[in-house]
Amino acid sequence: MAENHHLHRDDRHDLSEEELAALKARMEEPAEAGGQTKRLVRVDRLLSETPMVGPSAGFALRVMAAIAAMELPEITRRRLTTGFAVGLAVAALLVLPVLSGLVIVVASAITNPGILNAGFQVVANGIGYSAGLITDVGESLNKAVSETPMLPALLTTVIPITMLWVWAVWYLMREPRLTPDQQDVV
Amino acid sequence: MSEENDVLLVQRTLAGDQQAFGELVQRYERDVFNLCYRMLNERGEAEDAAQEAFLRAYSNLDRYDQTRSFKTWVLSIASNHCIDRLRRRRLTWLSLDEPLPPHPALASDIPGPEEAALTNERNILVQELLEDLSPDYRLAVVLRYWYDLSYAEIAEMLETTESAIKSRLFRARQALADQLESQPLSSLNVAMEGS
Repeated sequence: MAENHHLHRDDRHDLSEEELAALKARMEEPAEAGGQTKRLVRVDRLLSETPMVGPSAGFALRVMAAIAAMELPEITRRRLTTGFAVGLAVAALLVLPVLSGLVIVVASAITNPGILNAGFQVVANGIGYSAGLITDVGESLNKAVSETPMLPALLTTVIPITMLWVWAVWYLMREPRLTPDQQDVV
Repeated sequence: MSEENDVLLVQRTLAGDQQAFGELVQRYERDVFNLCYRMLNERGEAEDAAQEAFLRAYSNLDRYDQTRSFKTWVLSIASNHCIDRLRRRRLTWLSLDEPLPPHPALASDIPGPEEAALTNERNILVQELLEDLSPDYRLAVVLRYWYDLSYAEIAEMLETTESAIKSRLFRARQALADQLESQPLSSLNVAMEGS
C-alpha cells in the first residue's frame, strides 16, 4: 500500500487536474469512512455502557397502593349500581298502580265537561286565594317593619349567621381528606 | 422460564390474586422506569409515568395476549404513555427546565467514587444527547440499546416497519455522533477515548 502511494506520488506530475482530484477523493475516502465508523462506535459504546436506572425505594408498594385505591371506588360503584337498580325496580312496582289510577282519573275528567268546568273553577279560586294570601303577607310584613324598627337589622344579622352555620355543618359532615403525607403514600 | 412465570402470574392476577401482579411490578419496575426516565428526563415525572403504565397494564390485563412477552407488552404501554406525555408537554411548556441531576441511588452499585462520578457524568451526558432527539428517534434508541430488542420487536411495538426503525436508528446515531463531537472535552470523554 505504501509502495502504491509512493508510485502515485512519483506519477503525480503526469496526471490531469481532474484525474488528480479524483485520485485525491479516492485516497481520502477510506480515512473519512473510518472516521465516521469511529464516531458511531463511540456513540454505541456510550449508550451500551450507560446502566439502567431504577425507581426510588418503595415504588412497587406505591403502585400496588394505587391499584388498591383504584379498585375501591370501582367496588363501591358496582354496589351502588346494583342497589340502585333493585331500588328502581321496587319503586316502579309500587308506583305503577298509583300512576295507572291517576291516568284513568285524568282521562275521565278530560272527557266529562261538567268535571272540566268544576276543575277550572277550582283552579281560578286557587289563584285568587293565593294572590290574596301574598297581598296579606306583604301588608303584614310592611306593618311589622314600620312598627318594629329593629326587624331589618335583625334580619341582616340572622342571614349571615345562618350561612355561617350551614357552612360549618357542611364542613363537619364532609368526608375526611388525605393529608399530603398520606397522598404521597398513595 | 421467566416468560412462563410471567404467564402464571398474569393468570393468577386475572383470577383475583393482586399479590401476583405485585410480583410482576417488582420484576419489571426497573425496566419500565428506565424507559420512562430516558424518555422524559425527569425522575419525578418518570415515576408517575411508570406507575401509570403499570396501572394501565393492570386495568387491561384481560386484553394481554399471553403468547407474547409480558415485558414487551408493558414496555409498549409505557412507550405510548411517554410519547403522549411528551406531546402534552410540548403543548403546555413554555420553557424547558434544566435536566435534573441524577438520583444518588444511580451510583449505588458502583464501588468506587471515581467510577460513580463517571457513571453520573455519563448519565447526564446521555440524557442531554437524548433530549435533543425527537421522541420517535429517542424511543427507538432507548429500546435498542437498553433492552436489546430486535428491529422486528421494536417495529411491532411501535406499529411500524423494520426498515423505518433501521432508518430512525441510523439517523439517530448520526445525530448523536454529531452532538457528541460538539461536546466539550471532559473526564468522561477521556475515559471513552481510552477504552
